[in-house]
Amino acid sequence: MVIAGFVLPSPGVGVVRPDAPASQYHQASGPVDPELLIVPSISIRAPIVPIETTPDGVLHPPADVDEVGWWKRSAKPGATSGQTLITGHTVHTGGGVMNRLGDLRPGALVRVKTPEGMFDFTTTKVFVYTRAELAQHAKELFGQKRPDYRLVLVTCTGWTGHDYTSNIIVFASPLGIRNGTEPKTPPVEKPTPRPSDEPTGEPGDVGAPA
Amino acid sequence: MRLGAIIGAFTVTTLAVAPAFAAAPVSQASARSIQLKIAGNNLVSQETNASNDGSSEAVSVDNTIPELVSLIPGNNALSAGVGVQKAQANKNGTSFACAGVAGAGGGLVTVGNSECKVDGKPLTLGLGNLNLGLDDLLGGNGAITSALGTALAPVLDALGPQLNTVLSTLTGSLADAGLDIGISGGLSAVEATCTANPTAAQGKAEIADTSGDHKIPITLHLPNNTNLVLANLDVDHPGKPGGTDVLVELDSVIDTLVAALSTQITTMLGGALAGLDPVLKAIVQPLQAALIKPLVDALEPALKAISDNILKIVVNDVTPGDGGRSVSVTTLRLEVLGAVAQFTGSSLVSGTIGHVTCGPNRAPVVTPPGNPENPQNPENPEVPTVVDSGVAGHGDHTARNILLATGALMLLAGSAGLVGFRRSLLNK
Repeated sequence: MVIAGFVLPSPGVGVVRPDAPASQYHQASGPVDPELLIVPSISIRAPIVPIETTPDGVLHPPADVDEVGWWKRSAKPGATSGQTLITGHTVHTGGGVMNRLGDLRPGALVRVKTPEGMFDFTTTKVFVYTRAELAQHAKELFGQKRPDYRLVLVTCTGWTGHDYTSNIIVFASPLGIRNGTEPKTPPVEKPTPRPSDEPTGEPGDVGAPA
Repeated sequence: MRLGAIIGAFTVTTLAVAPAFAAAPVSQASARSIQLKIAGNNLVSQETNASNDGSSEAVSVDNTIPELVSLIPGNNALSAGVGVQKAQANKNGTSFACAGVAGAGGGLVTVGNSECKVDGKPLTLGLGNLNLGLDDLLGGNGAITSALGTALAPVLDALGPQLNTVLSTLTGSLADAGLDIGISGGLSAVEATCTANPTAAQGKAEIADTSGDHKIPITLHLPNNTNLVLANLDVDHPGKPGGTDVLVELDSVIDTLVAALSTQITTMLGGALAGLDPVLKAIVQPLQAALIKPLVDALEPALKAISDNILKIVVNDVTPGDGGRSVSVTTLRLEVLGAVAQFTGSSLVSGTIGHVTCGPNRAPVVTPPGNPENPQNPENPEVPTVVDSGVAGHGDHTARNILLATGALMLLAGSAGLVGFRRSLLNK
């Protein structure tokens, strides 16, 4: 029975077209806690836990590579400004929750489960920065003075055999809370283990951030 | 049936309650350049409404700058101008509006997202022409006949059975006798403007000082090219709630009206008498002057009512509302020949020029940047400069490992149980 529990697929993720009419969405009452990250097109389904930087400015995702971390000083979904920063691990031998982040393409749906419902985003940009570039652009990538709200997903890439040299960065614009997803507040689901995903290396769309 | 009643009651209840949930707009404004009613008909009503729910603006009518010629055919003076209006509601809780009329070539000047104003040359406003027949003024042929009967009493015996012929001839002629009254005003550019934010609203009414003396000359035009300047209206009044009632000195108007009407009646009687039988004409003609007096006497109350109400103008109405968070501005409200309502059911011309409203607005819901629940610790930098999200080798699958370990233990326990059970069977 325990084994069966591992083998059976997890409940399907409702697919919402990113270009769905605005009437399918409503705005959140305000900033709401992010609980679960779901990216259907690259099979991410990961609990979100709050994380904080080290004093020297390093943001480490949760040690559990099946979870993702939300930088707890970044905006929550439903904010009217700023950006939500979520990061998760890439494991070069496979199995990291964000191993396939580089496969994401503009227009892809990104969902964040919240106590008010499923807050949907649409991917707008996927690109790679070296560590140096990321540090140089850290304020525009992660700063909270941005007038329009967005979601930022980050993981590592560029495995050299002993280190990662770059980061994959994804921007996503808010669509709102999908109507009909107002939850009965189910418990946060643990992720279903997936077959090991090999890192995909550099993503195709490498450009300057918007 | 009972289910239907329940559904019906629910529907009614829902409909009744629903409006209570409608959120007030973040900002709102309206602008109406001109609204005129002529003889009770809504001839022109040009209005724009704008509101913003905090994310987008909804405008009921596009802001337009139409030539008035397309709106008010026949009024050549006003047709030379333009009616302009604009209302804008911003998502930051501010709104503004401007409306009015200006001479040809006029338009709107918008200052960023915060205000606008009417820009244009002066124009002349024709306030309309009124053709009042004696039939209207006296309330019907019976009254004319009665007045004529009184005037003809001294020659009643001489007329004998011919009286009806004389009465019908004169009455038919006089019924068409009219008093043409025209009023015109030389207006400068008229504008109303307002702005509002979540805490306050301001409004301003202005009639452009193109002549330098803030005066509107109002002229009464009567038959036989008789013109009477009723007043040079002083419109230089500061805005205040309800506006300022601009009074016209009308003492001389009644005399002018009576004289003009007497001239008209004399002319008409002359024509009517000319068509009479020569014998009857010889009897009635000496009474011509006497015929006019009872008619004018009968008409005087109506003329007095007209003169008392010939023109009512209210200027510069700036009325705040909602504790100062909204404002309504009307620069010019006019009613011409209000007494005509007795005969036509409405004033000849009534309406407003330059009307705007702004607010009440409210502050949009803006979340503070970042997550205020977790303020920055002085030890931490403002933003991360490194995202260390790569794992070399096999990652830590803590949760999965726990589940796997639990599963393995259960399998082990189960296997042990099976082995023990098998041994127990073999030992039997």
